[in-house]
Amino acid sequence: MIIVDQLSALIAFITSAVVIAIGSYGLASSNNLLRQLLSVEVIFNGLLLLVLPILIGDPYMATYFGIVVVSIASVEVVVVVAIILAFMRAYRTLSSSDLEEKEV
Amino acid sequence: MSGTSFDLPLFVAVMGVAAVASAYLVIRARDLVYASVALAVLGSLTASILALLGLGIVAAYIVLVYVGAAVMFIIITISMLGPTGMEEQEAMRGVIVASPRRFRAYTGLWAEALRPLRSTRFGQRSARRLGGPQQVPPGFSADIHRSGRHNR
Repeated sequence: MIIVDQLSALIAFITSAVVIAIGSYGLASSNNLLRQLLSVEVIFNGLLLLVLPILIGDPYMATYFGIVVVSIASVEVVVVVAIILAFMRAYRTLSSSDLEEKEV
Repeated sequence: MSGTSFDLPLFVAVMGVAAVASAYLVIRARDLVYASVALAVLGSLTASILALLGLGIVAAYIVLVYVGAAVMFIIITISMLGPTGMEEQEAMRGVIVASPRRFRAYTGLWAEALRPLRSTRFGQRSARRLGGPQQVPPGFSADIHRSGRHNR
């Protein structure tokens, strides 16, 4: 079993909370689809910092969980970028406000 | 000083501060390419924090698969896409979206919930207030509705 002192885990939790807050703000304050994708990835990094130190008491569980989550996130990035490129080709814009006005 | 219990929290704190700074750079960089590079740095710092906490395999996997493949894919895509037009960043948009009523209006949850009631007078009024698409139900003319409001 991995022994991690509580202070390090606490610092990781605080970091994850701040990173999630920054990502949420970026997601809400921008209207560019690519910037929103980057903000979602920031939130994902924060969640990874939040969940994996919780599971660190069982290192096998944490390892399997981390590998599965990172794999799914990587595939999700590819799919979302493909969708954004399809939007870009179809509507000639990457602004979510324009897409909302066009009732996409 | 190596091997003391003071090392690990100090390194985690330094990596955490750098991670917060790179996360801020992701949402604040004017150029999306620089924002993507900051995202790659953020992923590397996340991996380093996890490695410091004892999850070396996950950290190596993050660096190889996430930073090496996914984020590089984003960087290459944005670089090939070129400038993507004007980008609006409103500081208060987050507050507006966070308010429950505007959030419901944005997501259209109310419009979906009121879809069975569209044929009624209440449904027409709610759809008009939320700015959603309005439909005149059969047998319910818009002129009649307008004259009804006018008479009131």
